[in-house]
Amino acid sequence: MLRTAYYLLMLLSIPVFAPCASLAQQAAVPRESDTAKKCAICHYRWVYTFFIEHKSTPIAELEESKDSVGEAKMCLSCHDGSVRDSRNTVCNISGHAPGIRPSDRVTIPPNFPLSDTGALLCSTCHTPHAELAPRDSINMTFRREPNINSSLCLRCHTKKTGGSAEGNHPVNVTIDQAPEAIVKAGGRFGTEKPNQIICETCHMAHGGVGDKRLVLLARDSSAPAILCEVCHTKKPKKPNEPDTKRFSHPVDIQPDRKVTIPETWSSGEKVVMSVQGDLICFTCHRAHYAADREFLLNEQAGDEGLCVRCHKNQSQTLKSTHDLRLSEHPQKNPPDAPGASSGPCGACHSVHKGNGPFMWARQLPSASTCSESYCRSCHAPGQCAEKAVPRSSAHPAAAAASVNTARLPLYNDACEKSAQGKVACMTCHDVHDPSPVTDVSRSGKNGRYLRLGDSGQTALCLSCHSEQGFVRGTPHDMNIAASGYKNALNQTPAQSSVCGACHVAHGSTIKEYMWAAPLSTAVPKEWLKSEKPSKNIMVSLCTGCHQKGGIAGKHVPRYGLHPGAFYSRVSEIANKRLQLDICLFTPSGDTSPMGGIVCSTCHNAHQWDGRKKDRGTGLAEGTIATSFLRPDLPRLFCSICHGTEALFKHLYFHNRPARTEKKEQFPFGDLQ
Amino acid sequence: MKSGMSLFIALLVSCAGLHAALPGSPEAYTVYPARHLFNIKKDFLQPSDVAVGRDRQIYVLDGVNNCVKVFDSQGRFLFAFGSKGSRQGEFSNPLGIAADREGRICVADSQNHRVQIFTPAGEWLRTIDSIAPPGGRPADPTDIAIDESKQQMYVVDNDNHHVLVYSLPSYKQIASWASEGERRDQLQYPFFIAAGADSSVFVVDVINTRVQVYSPAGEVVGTIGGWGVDLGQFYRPKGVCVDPDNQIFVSDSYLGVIQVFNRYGNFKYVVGDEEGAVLKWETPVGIAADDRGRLYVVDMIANLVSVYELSGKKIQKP
Repeated sequence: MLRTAYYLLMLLSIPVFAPCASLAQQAAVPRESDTAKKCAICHYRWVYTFFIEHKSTPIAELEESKDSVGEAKMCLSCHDGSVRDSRNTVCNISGHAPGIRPSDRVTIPPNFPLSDTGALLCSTCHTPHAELAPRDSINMTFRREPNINSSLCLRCHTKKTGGSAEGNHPVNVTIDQAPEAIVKAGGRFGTEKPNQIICETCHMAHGGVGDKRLVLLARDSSAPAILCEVCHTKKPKKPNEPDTKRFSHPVDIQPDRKVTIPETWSSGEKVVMSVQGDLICFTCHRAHYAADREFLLNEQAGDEGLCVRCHKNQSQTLKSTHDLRLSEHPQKNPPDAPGASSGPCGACHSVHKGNGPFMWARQLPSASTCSESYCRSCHAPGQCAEKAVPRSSAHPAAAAASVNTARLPLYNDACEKSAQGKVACMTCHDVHDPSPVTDVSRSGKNGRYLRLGDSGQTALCLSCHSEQGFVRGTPHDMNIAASGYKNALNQTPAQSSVCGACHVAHGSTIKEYMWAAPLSTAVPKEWLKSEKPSKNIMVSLCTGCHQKGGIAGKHVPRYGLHPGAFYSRVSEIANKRLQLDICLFTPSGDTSPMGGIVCSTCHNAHQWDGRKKDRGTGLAEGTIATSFLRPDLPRLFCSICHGTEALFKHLYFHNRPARTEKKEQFPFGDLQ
Repeated sequence: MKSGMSLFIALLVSCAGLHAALPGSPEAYTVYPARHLFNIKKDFLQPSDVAVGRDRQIYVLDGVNNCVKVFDSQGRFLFAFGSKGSRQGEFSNPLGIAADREGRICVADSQNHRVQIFTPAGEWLRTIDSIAPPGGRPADPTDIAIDESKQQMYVVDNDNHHVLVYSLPSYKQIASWASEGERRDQLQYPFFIAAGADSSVFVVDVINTRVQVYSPAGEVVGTIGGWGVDLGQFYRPKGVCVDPDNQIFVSDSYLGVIQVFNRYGNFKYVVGDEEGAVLKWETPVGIAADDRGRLYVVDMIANLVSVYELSGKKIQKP
C-alpha cells in the first residue's frame, strides 16, 4: 500500500520536477565553491552569474565571449597596491605596456597571447599558471617562461641577438667590472659568466627611462650617470671638466654652429639628441638595428655617410686629394684602417681612438707648431703626401696687433682655436676644402685648400691685411702695371694674384715680408752721389724694381737715400717730438722707433693716395700728394725733423719743376 | 520508506528554490542619485585616495608622483607637498590618506613602511613607523582611519593581513587585529579602512571580497558584501567611507561601481546619476564623504577625482 502510494506520488511529481532537471545539472557546478571563486577572481567571465546564469546584473554587464583575464585592468585590480603595488612599474610606462601593438621587428611566439586587436597583454609575458620550478626561477613575477639571462626577452626580440655582426650591441659578453650606477639603478648581469651583459643590463621590462626603458638616463647630458658612458669611458667627462678632450668625438655638448644635424637618418629614424639638444652617444650610435654593424652607427661611412651628414661644411673633402680613398699610397692609419675602407674621414680621424685633438688617426711628428705637426703627418717625406710637401713658410706665427685676425682662426699651443693664438697652417688652409682647385684635369680635386679660396688668394690675404688691399689698381698692382712680370715662383700676376706678385707664403726669396719680387743687391748709382748706402733690407725690396733695368726702371727717384738716413738718433728725436709713427725700420726690416729712415718711412707701398683709404685708379703719374706717400706726410714731410722752414725749402727747391711746369696745387696750401 | 519520503520533500523544496532564482526576472534595486559637480585633474599619476580636511580642502594622494595635492572645495589647486624619497615629508608609493578633526593629514607611506602626519598646510609633524610582525613581511601600511571618540588610530598592514591599532595621542601601538585567511576573523589583503560615527571600523578585505566590520575592541561584528557581481556583492572592493548617516559606501574598482550599505551590512543602494542610471567609473578606488553630502571618488586609471553631491531622494529601479 505504502509502496503504491510512493510510486503514485513520484509519477505525479514528474511534471513538476521535469523543468528542474536541467537546473539540477547546472547546480552541480559549485556555485559557492571556493575553487570556482579562485579561478573567477581573474577569469571574470567564469563568474557564476555569467558562466552559468548567462545574465547581466545592474552593476555588471554579461561577459561571455570576451576574455579580459589578462588585460591590464584585471591585473591592476590587484596590482594597484591592494595586493601588490605595480603602479610605478607596470602601468606607468610607455612602450612595453599593455595595449601596445608589437612592431614588425618583434616576433611574438604562438604561445604568448595577444589581445583580440593584437596588442600586448599582461598575460603575454606573465601567467600565474606558469609551471616552473623552482619558484625563484620565475622571480616571483609569474613569467610565462624562465627568464634566464634575459632569455624571455629574446623570445620576442629575436632580431636583437648576434652582436655587431647583426647590427646589435653584443650580449653574453663580459666586462671587467659591473658599473655601480647600473647595478644601483636595477640593471642586472647574467649568471653564466662574471659581469655578463644581458638585455636587462641596459633595459628594464617595467620601469626604467623612456620608451626603451633604459636603466639609466641616456638622453640627459646633465645626468650624473649616462648609460653608455658608464661602460664605454673609464671616466665619464663633462664639457666643463678639464679632460673633456678625450681624443674622441665630443659628446654632451651643443653641436658647433657649423655642423648641420639632420632631422632623420637615411633609414628614416629620427636623429636623437639629448633633451638639452646636446650631442650624445645615441646621436651617432644605436644599440640595435644599426646601419653600420661594426661600430653600430646610424649611417654607414661614405660620401653621404654618418660624418658627412652632419659635417656638410667639410664635404668638399670628398673626391679631393685629401680624400685618401683615392690615394694609391698603401699607408694605413694606426687602427690599420686603410683609407679606402675607413670612409672619407677615417684615414685622418679616429672617432674614439685619436692620437690627439681632432681625433687624429695618424702618428704626429714633432714640428714647430702644433698645427704643423698635423700637416706634417702626411706632408713629409715618406708619408702619404710626400709628393706634396710645401716649401717652407715665411709667414710670421705671431699675429701683429695691427692685423685684423677676426676672420681667420688662430691656434694656441694645444691646437685649439684662440683669439690669442698664433698663425698656423690651418689659419690659411682649410684641409677640408680644396678650393681653389688648381688642376681639374687631375683625378680628385687638386687644390690649394685655402680658406676663402673661392674668392681668390688675395681675399685670404686681405682678410687680415685689409689696408694692404688698397694696392689694387695702383702702379704696384702688377696686373695693370706689368702683366708680364713673374714672381719668385715664376707666377704671372694672374696666377699669383695681386699680393702674390710680391709676397708668397711658401717659397719666398727671403723670409722678410715673404718677398717674392725682385730683390736688389745695390742701390741706384745716382743715389750714391749724395749718400753712401747702408744695408737695410727695406731699401733692397724697393730697389729690386725701382732701378734702371727693373720693371719700375722709369720710376727711380732722383734722390733715394736721405741724408743721415740711418741715424737712429734723429729718428728717436723725431718720435719723441711729434709722437708720430713715421715707420722707422731696422736693417732686418722690422719697424722700430730706433730704426732708420728708408723708402717705406715716407711711402706706403700699398696705398697710392695717403689721404684716401681706397684702391688706386690706374697708372696715373704721381704727385706730391700721391705717389704712395703716407697720410699727412706730404704736409709734415720734412718738418718733423727739420722744422717748419723745411716746408719752404721743399717748395722752392725740391719740387719746383712739378709745381711750376704742371701747375700743381701747392699741397701745403695753408702754408702759402 | 522514511528516507525516500525525505528525499522527495528535499527535491521539492530545492526545485521551488531554483524556480525562484530563474534568470530573466528583473531585480528591483534603488539608486542613490549623485549630481556631478566637478572633476579634479592635476597631472595625477594613478592617484589612490582622497580626504577632506579643514575648510573642506580636498587632499588627493597622487601616489606614483609621491605627493599630496591640495585643492579648495571648488577643486582649485592650492598647493602640493611631498616628493619621492624616504626622508621626512617624502613618500614612496603612498596609498591611503585620512584627515582628523583638527585637519591633520595622515598618509600611509606604504613602501617606506610608515605613516606620516602633516599639518593642514603640509608641514611634517610626525612619523609612525609600522612594525612588521615577528616572521612577517615588512609592514605595508595602505590606509589609516582615526576615531577621535575612542582616541584610536587604525592602520591597515596589507602585506601582513592585519590592522594595527594605535592609541592617541601617544601613537603607541596597542593591538593588531586579524591574520591571513578566509575565516571571519581573518583578512586577505585588507586595503582601505574607515571608522564610523558609532566607532565601528570597516576594513575592505580585498581578496575575501568583503568588508569586515570591527568593534573598537577588535571583535568582528559583521560582514558587508561577498563574492559576486550582483547587487550587494563585490568583485574587487577597494575604497570605503562612512557618511554622517552612518551609511557605508564601498567602491569596486573592477565593476566600476559604488554601493551603499547600512550599518548592519545590508545592501541599500547603488550610486547612480540623477536619471537613475548606475554610475560607472573606470577604476574607483579611494572614496570620501563629507558632512554636506558630497562624495569624492578617486578614479585611478583615469587619473582624476570626481566630486558629486548626493541627493536625498532615491530612485527605485526598474
